[in-house]
Amino acid sequence: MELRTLTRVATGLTVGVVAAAALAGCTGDSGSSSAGGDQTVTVWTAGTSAAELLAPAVAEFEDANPGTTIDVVDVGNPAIWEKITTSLAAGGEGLPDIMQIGIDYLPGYTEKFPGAFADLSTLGADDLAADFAPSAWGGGMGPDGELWGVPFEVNTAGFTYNKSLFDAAGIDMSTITTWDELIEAGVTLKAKTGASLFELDKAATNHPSADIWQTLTQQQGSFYFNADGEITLNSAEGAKSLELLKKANDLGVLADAASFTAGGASQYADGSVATNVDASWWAGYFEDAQPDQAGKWAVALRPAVEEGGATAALAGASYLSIAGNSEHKDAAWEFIAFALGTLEGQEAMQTAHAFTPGFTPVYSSDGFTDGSGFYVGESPSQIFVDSITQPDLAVPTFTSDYARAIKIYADAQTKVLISGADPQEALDEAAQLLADATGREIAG
Amino acid sequence: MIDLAVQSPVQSPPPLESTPPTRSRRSARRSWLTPRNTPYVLLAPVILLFAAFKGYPILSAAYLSLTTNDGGTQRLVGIANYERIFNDPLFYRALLNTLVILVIQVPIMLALAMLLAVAFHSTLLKFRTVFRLGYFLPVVMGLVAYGVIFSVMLATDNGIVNVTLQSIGLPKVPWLQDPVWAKVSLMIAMTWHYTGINTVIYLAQRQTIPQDLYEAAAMDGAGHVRQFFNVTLPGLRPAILLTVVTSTIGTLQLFDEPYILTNGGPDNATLTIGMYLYENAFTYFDFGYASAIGFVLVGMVVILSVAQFRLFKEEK
Amino acid sequence: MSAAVRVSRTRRRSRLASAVLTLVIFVGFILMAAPFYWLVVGSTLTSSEVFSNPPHLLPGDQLVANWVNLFGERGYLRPVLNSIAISIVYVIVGMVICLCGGYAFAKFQFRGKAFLFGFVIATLAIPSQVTLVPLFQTMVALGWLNSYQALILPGLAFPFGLFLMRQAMQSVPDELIQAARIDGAGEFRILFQIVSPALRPALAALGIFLFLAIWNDFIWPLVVLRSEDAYTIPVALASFSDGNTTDYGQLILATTISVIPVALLFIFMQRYFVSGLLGGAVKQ
Repeated sequence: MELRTLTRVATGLTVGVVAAAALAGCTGDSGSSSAGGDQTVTVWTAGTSAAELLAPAVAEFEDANPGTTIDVVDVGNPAIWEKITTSLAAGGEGLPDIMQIGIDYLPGYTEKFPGAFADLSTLGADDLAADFAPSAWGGGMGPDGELWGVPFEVNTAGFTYNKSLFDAAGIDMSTITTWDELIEAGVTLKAKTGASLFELDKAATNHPSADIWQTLTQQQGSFYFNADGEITLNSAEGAKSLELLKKANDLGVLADAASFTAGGASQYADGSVATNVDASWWAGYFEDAQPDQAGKWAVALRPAVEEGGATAALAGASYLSIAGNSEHKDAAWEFIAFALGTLEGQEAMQTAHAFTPGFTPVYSSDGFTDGSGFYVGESPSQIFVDSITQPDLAVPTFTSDYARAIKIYADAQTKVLISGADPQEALDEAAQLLADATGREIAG
Repeated sequence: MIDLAVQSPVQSPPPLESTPPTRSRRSARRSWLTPRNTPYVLLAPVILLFAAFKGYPILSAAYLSLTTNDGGTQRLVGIANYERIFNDPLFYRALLNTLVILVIQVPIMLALAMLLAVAFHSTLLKFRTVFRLGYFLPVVMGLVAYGVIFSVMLATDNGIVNVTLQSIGLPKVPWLQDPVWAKVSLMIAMTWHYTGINTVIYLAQRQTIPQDLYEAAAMDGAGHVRQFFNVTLPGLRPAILLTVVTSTIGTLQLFDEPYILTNGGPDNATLTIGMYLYENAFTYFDFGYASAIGFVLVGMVVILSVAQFRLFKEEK
Repeated sequence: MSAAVRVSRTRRRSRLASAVLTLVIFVGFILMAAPFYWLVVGSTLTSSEVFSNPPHLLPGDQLVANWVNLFGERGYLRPVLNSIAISIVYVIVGMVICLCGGYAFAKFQFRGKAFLFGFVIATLAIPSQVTLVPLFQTMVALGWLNSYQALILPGLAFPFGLFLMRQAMQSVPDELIQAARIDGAGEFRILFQIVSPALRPALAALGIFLFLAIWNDFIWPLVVLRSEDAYTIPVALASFSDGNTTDYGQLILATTISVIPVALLFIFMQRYFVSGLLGGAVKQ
């Protein structure tokens, strides 16, 4: 009896260990290079659409470069940040050759983990600069002119509105030039149609609810930090942005995003919310999510904050970067240069929905700005091009403390929108908190 | 020095087929497995695994908690991170939130779990297999789907919960926008998620209570309620200690629910220590500070656990 | 009052109690299980139908489309098989380790016991985010990135399981073990032949907890795995999400499928919680 039990346990353990070993053998090390000059360049993407958009370029590149394999690993968003951060904190161990990094993470990564990324200028990236929108390109640059990433996907501040509702309320978007006018028109819209003008996650419990304030502030040429890295979130421009949000809230035209389920955009389709002011990708997303809404909606440049001010802002971007310890830097760079810096490599991007590239020659390529007819008037990609090519489009200074700044700002915004705090006071308090947490000066 | 079993050479036992009856087999074993070394032999895998995969990382994290990231290198700063914790208003906020959840949610959940275990054990209950499964399953819910489901349920205007409330004439509840309701939402989600797993522990322990004890109690004239307090509750004591300690620790580390439901908001009303620690490590890349928070958490757990162990011992 | 009347009255009372209890538990069951009903419905919807207003309460017609996407284009089969293989190995080895460890902690006095057990409980208190980076560095040093042993071995240091086994063993009477020792039984025989059968309910629970621990584990496999063909289910699920354009119908189907093995295991293990093992510890 006892023997049988022991044997069973021993067998169990043996089976376990053998199975584990066998499974381990299955995967092997897929990243390392083998003999004969063959090499594998590994790429991590933050999601399926990015992986799919790279796929045609991968195939072409592999055809043109026998012996080089591009292995695209789709990690997902936000999973990719945990994966990259862990590797960086472990001294860069286990990083892939190429990774997709958001504009919001890049400055923090490069500042906190120097050496983790290759300076692409040294690999010849500067030649590409002229072919990219300066604001998007600038987002990939370090303070000393290093280039940490090449823009892959770029987004501008969005303005997608329900034209049929606006028409029903007798509002003509082309006559509205500032946010103040827009918000006042929103009162009419609400009275006549019952729709809220736009939505925001007031309690910041789900959405990254700082986005709208950020783009409003950028439209005025300001941001959380100035070019010297000093805190400017409580500047006159910052306060003006928050006052606009408070005004919309007080007038009852700002819906709370927490009122609606977090996906599918049904609040837009059922007439609860008339405008989305997030980012340019949203128009493509909405078209896919609610095809029945065709012919009712339109896209436009944003109204300015002050009369005659900027009608566009950078609302996000992601970059392809190369690990500082990559053994295939040259091949990795060649792939990036091909996939992001040539029309052949960008072929898939020319017709992509909800994914707009940073490579400017694509903008004038055949069909890029042709819409599908879903939107009345100009297509989302045309508005995107009109936005990204504006000469006064600001390059915000993100700094390594961007994540903290968002968090502290969002708390201040919650105080204003939920508890009725004064915008300037809430922002002054937030600036002080940010200064305490980061040791940065508040710009005087 | 601990006399580790590894030191005694493991003699290969004689081939099993040729083993003569019991006696020599016993003596063969006796040659290496002595009463003195038995516990160490039993614990050898535990010691090895914990040394390699817990001990070393913990020491390394302890060192990290004494450093700060200074332009890419971890510079030793002594106890500066710990001093910072005690002057950090957000840490206190997170601590208070966590303790509120601990004091309210854990007793409710464990009491529920115990009642459920009693019900699931009772033959009075029909369809027990299906019910047990239904109460247990929430613990399997993956993080992403968990977030989607609660968003669909808790949205203020078109969420399933508020639509249902309104259909029976009750007002809408601002589940995620109001500081108090956000905490309530969190506690409801936690109770949904973890009650079943505690029920399993109680059910398993309930099986070890001898039926004779109930028969004896019934003979003494004890009804169901008195049987519960005099027989079931004392019989469940090891399981109660286990669940109290692990739920306390789980709540002190609470991360999943605030991460997917409330993002710590509104205005930090649901920021927990676990969430704050995560933010410091993975959003601000301040691993030194995050590690220090982790060790303060461990200190609190050790104090609470010792108290809980004492409490349950004294009651014996 | 005749005995027959009394009996029928008791019976009636217990039938009423049974109905009330069943009803109460049923209401709770609806609340607990509703999200799973919704999960099943969601598996048959398109991404935007998942969030439609009013919500879909009846299945749609996208099940086949979601299924084809998931197992075709997405290659979901591989992560499912990976998860199952890893979980089986982990649960078997983990049960033996926790059983032995729990036995030592509950039934032996030895030097260093308090320290060792205290250490085990203390590791339960260490937030995993704190040891993530050092543990990752350990894997790098061992050359274990992207290996299955990296997924299995660190998780075998499972303090909860040791704690569970120690607590469960305390209900096993010492006399039972002493008697076996006097009969000349060896310690392994006592553990596996005498103690374990009495602990079947707790062992079933342990098996479930081990399975859950490895099945739901997300951050660790995410961090140590490098290639898509080594992904486990949670890592694959995370890769389906890209923030803006996630396909929720497909994601929910994938989640539903990931729940099924756990449900089956639970149904299978359930009989050990309610088997006729009442008082098993004192049965010889």
